[in-house]
Amino acid sequence: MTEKTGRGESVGQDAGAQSDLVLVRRVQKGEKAAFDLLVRKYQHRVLALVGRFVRNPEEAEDVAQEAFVKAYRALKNFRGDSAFYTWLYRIAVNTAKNHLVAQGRQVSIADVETEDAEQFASADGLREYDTPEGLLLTKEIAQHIDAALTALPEDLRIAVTLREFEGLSYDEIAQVMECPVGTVRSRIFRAREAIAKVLAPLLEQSDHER
Amino acid sequence: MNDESQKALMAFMAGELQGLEAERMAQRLEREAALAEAWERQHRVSFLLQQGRSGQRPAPADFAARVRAAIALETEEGVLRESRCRPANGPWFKASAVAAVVVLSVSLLSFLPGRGHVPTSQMASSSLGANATQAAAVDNGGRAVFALRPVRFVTTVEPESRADLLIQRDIRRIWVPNGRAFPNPALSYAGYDPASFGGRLLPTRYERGAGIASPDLWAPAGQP
Repeated sequence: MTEKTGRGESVGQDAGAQSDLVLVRRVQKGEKAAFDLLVRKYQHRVLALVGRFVRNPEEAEDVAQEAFVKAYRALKNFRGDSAFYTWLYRIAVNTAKNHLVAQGRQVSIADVETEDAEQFASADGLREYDTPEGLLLTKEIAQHIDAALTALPEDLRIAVTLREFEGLSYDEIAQVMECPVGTVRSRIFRAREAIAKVLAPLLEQSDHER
Repeated sequence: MNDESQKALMAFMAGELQGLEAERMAQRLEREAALAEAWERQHRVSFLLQQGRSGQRPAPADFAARVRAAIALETEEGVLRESRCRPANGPWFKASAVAAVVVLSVSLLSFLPGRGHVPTSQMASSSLGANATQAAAVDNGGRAVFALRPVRFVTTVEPESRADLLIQRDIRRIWVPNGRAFPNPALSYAGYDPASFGGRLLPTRYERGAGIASPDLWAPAGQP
């Protein structure tokens, strides 16, 4: 299992490629709910990726939505030659580019190839949020994340930090923490749930202000 | 959710489940809402931990529901097929969007009580063209199911006003407030407050003879 790809590592992408394929096969057999799970997993990264091209956040949401609909339509032809997320990102990039071209706008990242999509999906900084309000919210989110991490019991904090920031696999974390891998999974789950609770009010507020 | 389910979910997320175990977990995720919500939450927090400090925000809470609604609309109504689509955007769109507001206003208001119905064929052939996912949602059988997302809070004291119908920026999502009380001219109408419902999509249906209605909020059109 290859999980670590450096900063902004691809935990949940490469790491979950096998699970993606299971869900894709189920969609191809007619289980629509499986596609919903893929949307719920990739919505954030696809929106971030589209946002690199389409700077208006509302417009970006529509383009990202269209990308998912296109992916759903095309999924019957997906054979698994590449990872699902690579294929999905390619659709998202092309949808965003087509959107800009159709509107007579210049593609803002002219030299982006679809193969670079993964890097862009994880790239730092979305400039459309570089408004004073957006920057303030970013700062607030960062503060809440730090506060939530600090408030976690040490074993949960170490586990989730090693996972999210260092990109270690569950097995590697188990070795570092000298505990069973099942315990690592449980700790990371509980850590994220605790952080979700702390961030929920802020994210709700952000949604309402969009 | 018990500890075993948590561990199984995490293993699935990491691609560590194989064969039947992975299939079973996928099935559970499809069927158990709490598990699916945990799946979404875990990915959301993971994204935020990795990207939140750099200014990236997660998708809005209702984004997946919007995609779901769009796919349901396409699948169930057979619209938005590539072969019938014109480009989603372009110079024509700006002009037709303006016209669409008028056409849809007239059409949808005509579904409301006391206004008589516009034939579904007329609604489906509005000037929105391929972008009119809402309008095109009406099938030949006169029945459609789709989802509406509220735009903003609105209060109107003039029930006959076109303020009764709000159309979101992309003309694909339409919100018609005040369906329950409309059109009692003696009342002031308070619109829908998105905050009360978390901004979620509302399952909405159109049926010939009953008009447009949301099972959540509205009585069918035609009833006070």
